[in-house]
Amino acid sequence: MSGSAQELVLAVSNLSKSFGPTRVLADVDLSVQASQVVVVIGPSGSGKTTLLRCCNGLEVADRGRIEVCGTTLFSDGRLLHDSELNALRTRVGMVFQSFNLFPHLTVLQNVTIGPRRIRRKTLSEAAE
Amino acid sequence: MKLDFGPVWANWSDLAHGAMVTVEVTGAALVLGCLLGLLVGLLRLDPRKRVRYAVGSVYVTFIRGTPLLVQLFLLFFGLPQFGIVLPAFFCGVLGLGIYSGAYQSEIVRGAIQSIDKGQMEAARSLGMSHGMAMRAIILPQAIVRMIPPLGNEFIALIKNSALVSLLTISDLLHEGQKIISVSYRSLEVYLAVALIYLLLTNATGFALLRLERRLRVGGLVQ
Repeated sequence: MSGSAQELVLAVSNLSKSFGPTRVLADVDLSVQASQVVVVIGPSGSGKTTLLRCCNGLEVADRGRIEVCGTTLFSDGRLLHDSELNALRTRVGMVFQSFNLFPHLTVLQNVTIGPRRIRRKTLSEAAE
Repeated sequence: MKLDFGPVWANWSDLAHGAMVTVEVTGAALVLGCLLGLLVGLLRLDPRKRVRYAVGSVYVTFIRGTPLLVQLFLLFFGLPQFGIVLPAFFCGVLGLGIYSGAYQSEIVRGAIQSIDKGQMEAARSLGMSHGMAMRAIILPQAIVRMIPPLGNEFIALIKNSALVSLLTISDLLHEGQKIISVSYRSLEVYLAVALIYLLLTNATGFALLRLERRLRVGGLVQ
């Protein structure tokens, strides 16, 4: 831990999620501070990916609360509005299990498409 | 029996003119069909969006489930009962375009749904809206997969366009029949007509094959 450590970037509280009868997340609490490196470990099917997907709004949890960078992403079963969610996502990086690179784009395009298309930056700005 | 292609040569310009009309009708219908196909294909992506899905499904069900000739007759002979009299050429293009659009929409839908779900999720996780992700990430990949089945559809459209000769449009088949009605050389003229259709369909098939190769070289495919 280093830097101005007390800034909370991710706060998850009482998060629950079920797929049908299977309870995947049961009242999960998690807080991550700036510059902190956190590892979530568990056997396959234990809900690591589901937790991560919930934190990006790709999966909608059933109960609990998620705050990312001070913005409430999810609370009381409701996800943030789409446009605000998109804005938040531009500031949060996510690497998928199967990477999900865009096969029709070059490496440089893959890396720069986010900043270019969404924040309207030029290629040279984004390439930095 | 002796074959006499004399009437074909003598009326060559009429056949060429008819072929041009066939190309025009098919080309215009193709544009209409592609637009409709893309629109309806997108409508039918998500069954949970009930209204959009239902509208698309009614269209596809009705158009795919009834004969093209009946649809053309409905437009050309049926609509005038409501006082809507459309020019024959317009009816032909409209009928063929609507018909082809139903098939193309399924091609569009299938290609889009064949793209890995993670692509949309990855795009969304970068902060793209659904529409932007569709345009920048999904469609460019899906279009390459659409080309082979679209080639089939374009060729079918050229052949189906022969039906518009029954709406008094002077297309290739209609011109051929006019030559036959004065020369009585059915076999020779129909053979010539068939040969010209063959040229049109295969030229289209060849062009699409070239396009597909170019897109592959351009890296638009996995």
